Amino acid sequence: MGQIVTMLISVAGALAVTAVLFIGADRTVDSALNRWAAFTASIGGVLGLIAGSVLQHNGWVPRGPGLGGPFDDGWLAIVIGGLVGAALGSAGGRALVPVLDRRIRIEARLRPWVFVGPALLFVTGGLVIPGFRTMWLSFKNGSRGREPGFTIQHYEEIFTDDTFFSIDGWVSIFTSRLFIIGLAAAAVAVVAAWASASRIVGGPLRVKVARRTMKVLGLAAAIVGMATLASFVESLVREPNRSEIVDVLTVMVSSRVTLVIVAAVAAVVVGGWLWARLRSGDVEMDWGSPTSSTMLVLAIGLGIFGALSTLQGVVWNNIWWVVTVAGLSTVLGLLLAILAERARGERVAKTLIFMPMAISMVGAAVIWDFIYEVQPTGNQTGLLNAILQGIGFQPRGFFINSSMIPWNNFWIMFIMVWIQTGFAMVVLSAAIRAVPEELTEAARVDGANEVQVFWRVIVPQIRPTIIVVTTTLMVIVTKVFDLVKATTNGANRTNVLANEMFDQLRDRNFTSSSAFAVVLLALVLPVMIYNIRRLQSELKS
Amino acid sequence: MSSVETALMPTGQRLRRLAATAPSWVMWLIVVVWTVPTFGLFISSFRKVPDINSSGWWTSWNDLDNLTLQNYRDIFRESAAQPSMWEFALNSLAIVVPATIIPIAIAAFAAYGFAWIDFRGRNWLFIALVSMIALPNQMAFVPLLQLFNNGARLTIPGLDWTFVLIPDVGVANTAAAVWLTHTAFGLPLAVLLLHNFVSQLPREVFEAARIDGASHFTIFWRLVVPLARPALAAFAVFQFLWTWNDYLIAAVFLTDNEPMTVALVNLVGERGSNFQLRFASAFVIMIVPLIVFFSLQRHFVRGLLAGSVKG
Repeated sequence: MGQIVTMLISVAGALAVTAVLFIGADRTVDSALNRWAAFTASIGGVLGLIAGSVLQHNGWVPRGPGLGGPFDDGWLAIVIGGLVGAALGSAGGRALVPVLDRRIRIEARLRPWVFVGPALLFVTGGLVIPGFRTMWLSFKNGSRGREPGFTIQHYEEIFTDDTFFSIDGWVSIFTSRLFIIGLAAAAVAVVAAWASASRIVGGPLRVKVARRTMKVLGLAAAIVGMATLASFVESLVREPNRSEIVDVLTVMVSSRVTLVIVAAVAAVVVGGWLWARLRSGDVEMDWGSPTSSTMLVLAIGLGIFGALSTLQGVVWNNIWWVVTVAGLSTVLGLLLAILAERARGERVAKTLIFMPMAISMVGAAVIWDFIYEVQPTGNQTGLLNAILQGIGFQPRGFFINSSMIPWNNFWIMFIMVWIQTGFAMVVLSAAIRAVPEELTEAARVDGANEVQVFWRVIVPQIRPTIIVVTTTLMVIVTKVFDLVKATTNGANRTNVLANEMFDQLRDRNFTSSSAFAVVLLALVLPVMIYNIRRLQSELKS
Repeated sequence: MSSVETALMPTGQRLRRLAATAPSWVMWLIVVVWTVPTFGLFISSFRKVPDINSSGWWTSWNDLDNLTLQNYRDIFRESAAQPSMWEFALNSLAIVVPATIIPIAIAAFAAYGFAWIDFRGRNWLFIALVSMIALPNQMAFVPLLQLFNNGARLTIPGLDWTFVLIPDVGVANTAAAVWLTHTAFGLPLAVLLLHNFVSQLPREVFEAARIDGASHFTIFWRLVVPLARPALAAFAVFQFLWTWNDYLIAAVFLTDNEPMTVALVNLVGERGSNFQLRFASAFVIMIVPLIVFFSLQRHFVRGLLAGSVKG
């Protein structure tokens, strides 16, 4: 009971203080017009209070007459300061009253600050100044920043320690299966864009395009032949005593190194050639065709996802989180928004998908335990493992076992996708509703099918919203903390920057904690700058 | 249409009908995947410890008699190992209530000021304020922690003279430290949401009021606050969910009097005797935001749209 009363009192107190300060400031500015002396007295009083409290807190006033209580602490200095300030202000205000014109100008100049002042004060005191101080602290010596001198040691530690940042494994990007599938998707996207362009232009140009397509295909065949030959040679060098054709084939297929090198060369050659043709060419590639767009999204997504899955260190992991969760949530949200347009029970379904937004990340971590949990023996109590066992696979510790690295990260990321998809869906759904019906109808009348309407009409129309959703998600995901804390606490290479920052803070390593915060800021900086530019152009229009 | 009629339809038409229902199927499949985890938690919170460890929650359908309210009784009972959940709930409320109301008030002033009072530097100040939405909160933790614990001092270099700027006022480790922080962190988004709404109100209303001699304060209190009620409600829901569900800020600034989220993480950490309590606890923590969400979903969605579509 006592707790409730304390809480109510403090809430009421805080509200009363807010109201009194706001109304008081408003009335003070009012008085500049018609009661000038009262205005100067108020200003003087406030300045006096501040001066008095500065004197008191720095111990520059006599400790009082020995009466005990507030007098001894020098609190009297504050009261006296206020009174003296008010008296001086009042006297000054009486002695010198500006003309009405000038008072009107003063009133108009002060009024906005009454309204925007509190917010600016809070944000300056709670975010801006602390932000600069964090940057400053991150360059300070000593774990609490009290020692003199500056250092870049904390950043050095982050970017030289392999647990935080490592580029050693970058070669394995090219052997990542997802990355290679991504490359293949990119190739399909190029061909599809080409083919679609040729279908559109027709006529003599079409012949030209067809010839070019043949050239590309020929080049591709040559490269594949080269790769086969190279891996055949490699197989001879590696295991010269194999003679059976099947054996040789096995060795050839299992040899990734040659294939990868050739694939990389091929990608560069084909890409460069296409780019050169595109620049000089008379035929625009049709990237907007449904196949091409889908494949491009797939290529970019899988390529980046695959590449990041091989890179090690907390910083890369954090970037992997951002790309995966923001990308997957947006794509899923868009898919659901489209499906909802045509599905039955749309409202209920949307609400249920949206619901995880209301659940805390800590709660979500507990919830997903029932899906991912693994038991070493006996019945599986986690749903996924029970299903795996049911269809004859080994159960696995989705984010507990080190054998899952790096995919243990993905299973935690998926919880975040579960939470954020609803947001993407709701916002994108509203944007799709806002696409003018005439546009989609006109496209349908012109013979476009639903897939074409989606890629060629709806997506371009809602592109600004897609960007807003993705950037918002990126900002949210960069700071991810609770989920990792409540699932693995960063074990088995699942750590993220915010968790590392928190641990350093808990250990009272204030300076290195600050350095981690600054790295986080660096990650969101592009989005921040983009947002500022967008706001600028919006305010202009 | 009856099944006989369906059977009599030509194949092409039947396929087309099937294709037409496909979106529903896919969507509802995703809905099931999205809902099952929460449902599993709900069931598990009623199960006994040996059951939880030996069989999946979906097997509970076979013996519904084995479900029990004991876990819930346990978390609301004070014990040596763990205070009652009521206590944590009160701690949560002591943070959430001021952290929701005060930013709304301050952001409403600012939204009106930025939208309808003309002053120099208005646009860039607004942009600067709103761009803080993307600033990671982590950037403010260390300095704020130092401020709450020791106040702010300025040592003048060379003079070896330390000057107290802000005294230590004793907010360290109290709910006030947390809700003050929430207020600062929530304000940029609050100002953006409310500004988007308030700036869309018809100009004529304000002009008429000014001609009638109403002051900015009167306009704000008599016109803007009543008209902007939907936006205020939208942000209230937003901020309520965010502060209630917050773990990070509470964990940074509090070492006792923790809210429910911190209590839950502490339960998750220990895989010992209180293992089964975390399911019931997790559900109890979820129930308040879920009620708010389901009853005020309209406002929540409106807030989201105002924040991001227009943004």
